[in-house]
Amino acid sequence: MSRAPRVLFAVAVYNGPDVVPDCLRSAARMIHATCAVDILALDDASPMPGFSRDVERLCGELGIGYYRSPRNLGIPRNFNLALLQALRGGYDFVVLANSDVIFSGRVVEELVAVAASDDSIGSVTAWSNHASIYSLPNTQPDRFLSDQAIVDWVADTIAAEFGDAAVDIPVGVGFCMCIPTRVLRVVGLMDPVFGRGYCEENDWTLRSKALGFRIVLSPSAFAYHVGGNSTVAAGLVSRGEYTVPANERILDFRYPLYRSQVDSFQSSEILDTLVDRALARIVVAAAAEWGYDITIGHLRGPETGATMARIALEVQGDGLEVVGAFRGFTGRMDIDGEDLVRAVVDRVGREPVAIRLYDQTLRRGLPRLSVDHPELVEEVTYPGRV
Amino acid sequence: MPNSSPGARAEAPNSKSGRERLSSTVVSLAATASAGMDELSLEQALKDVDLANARVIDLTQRLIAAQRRTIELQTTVDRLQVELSQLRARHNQMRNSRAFRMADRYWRVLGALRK
Repeated sequence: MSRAPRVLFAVAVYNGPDVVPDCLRSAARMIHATCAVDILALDDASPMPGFSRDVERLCGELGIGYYRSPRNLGIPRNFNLALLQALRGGYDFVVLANSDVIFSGRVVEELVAVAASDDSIGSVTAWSNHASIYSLPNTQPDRFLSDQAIVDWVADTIAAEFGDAAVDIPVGVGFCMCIPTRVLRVVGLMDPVFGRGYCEENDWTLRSKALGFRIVLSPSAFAYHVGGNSTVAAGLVSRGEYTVPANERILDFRYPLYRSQVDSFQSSEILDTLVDRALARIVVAAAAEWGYDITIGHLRGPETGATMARIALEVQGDGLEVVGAFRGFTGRMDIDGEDLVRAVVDRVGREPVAIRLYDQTLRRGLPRLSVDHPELVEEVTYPGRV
Repeated sequence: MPNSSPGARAEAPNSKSGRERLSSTVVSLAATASAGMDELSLEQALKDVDLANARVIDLTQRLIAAQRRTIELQTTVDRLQVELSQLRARHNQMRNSRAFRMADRYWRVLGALRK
C-alpha cells in the first residue's frame, strides 16, 4: 500500500453521559501519523433526554462525524452501518469501538500496523483491562486507569515490550476491533440475528476464521475499557453480567468446537506469558519513571503502588519471589540471585526511595542484602493486634 | 464522509494549527455523514427485513418438518407401546398357565436335587 491507509474509526454510542464524552475526546486526540483516520460516532437513538444533542455538539467541536439513527437498531446493526460506510467510503480499514473506552494515542496505528502485516489477518482486537478472557488484570481499573495520560503511558510501555506482535486468539472481542475492508467484502456484515447485541463480533470472527482468516490480538494496542456500560443502560444485561445467554446458544449451535478452542487457548501458556511480560514491564518502567520502594515481606493493601511502584520480596514456597505493583497492576518479576535487592536496583536502573523491612526473618534468610544507601533501610514493625 | 489528504489529522488536535484544521473539516464531516447514513441505514434495514423474513420462512419450514417427524415418531412409539403391552399380557398369560407352573416346579426340584 503506497499511500497512507484510510481508516474509519466508528464508535457505537447508546446513552452513557459518564463515559461517552471522555471516549470521544480520547478518540479525537489519537495520533495518526501513518494513516488517515475519520472518526464517526454512531448514536443508536439514545433515549436519554438531551444526550444526543450534547454528543452531536461535542462531535462538532472535536471534528468527529456524528449520525443518530432514527430508531434503535441494536449493536450489530449499528456496527453494520459503520461497516457499510467503510465499504462505501473506500476505506482500507474499519475500527469498531464501544463508547466506554479511553483509547491510547497510538491505538489506531498499532491496530492498522498489525492488520496490514499479513493478508490473512481478518481482525485485530485491541488489548485492555476488560477484554473478556484476554484482559490485562487490574485490581481497580476505574480508579487507576480511567485517565488519558496513564492509558497512553501503559500503552507505550506495553508497546515497547511487544512491538507489532500479532497473537492468534480463538475469537475476537468487539470493544475495539480493526477489520480490513477487503476481508469485510469476503466475510460480510454482522448477523442481525444477535438482536440488540452481544456475541455478534464473536460470530463474525468465527465466520472469518472458517473462511481462512486469522483472528489476532495486538498487545501494543491498549485501551481502557469500562465494560458493559451501554448494554447495562439498555437493560440488555444486568449490572455485573457480561453476556446474553440466548446469543451464546446461537454460537454453540453454529460453532460446536468454539468452547473447547477457547478452553485450549486458556490452558496454553500464551495468555499467561503475555500478561506476565506486560505486568513485569509496567512495574519496572513505572519504578524507573516515578520511583519505587522495596518492601521485604509485605506487598498487599489497596494503596499499594498508587503513587509510585512497589517491589516486594515475598516468600513463595521455599524461596523468595519478587513481585511488583503499580496502579492496580501486580506482576511477578523474573529476578533471582543471591542479592535480590541489588538485582532489583540493577533491573530498574535507579535506587529505591526506601527499603522497608517488614519481616526480619526474611532478612536473615537473604544471603546478602546490600544497598548503596543504608540510610534508606527502615525497619517496620506491624502494629499490635487489637 | 470526506477524507482530507492522508495523515492530515496527524497533528495533535490541541495544538493551535491542529484546532484550526479540525474546525475547518468539522462541518462537512458531520453533514455528509448524516446525509449518506440515512440512505445507507434504510437500504440495509430493508435487506435486514428480507433476511429476517427468509429466516422466519426457513425456520417455519423446519418447524413443520420437525413437527411432522415428531408426530411420526410418536405414532411409532404409541404403536410399539401397544405391541409391548400385548406381548406382556401374553407373557403373563403363559406364566400363569398350568403347564408353565408344572414345568417351573419340575425345574426347581431338579435344581435342588443337583445341589
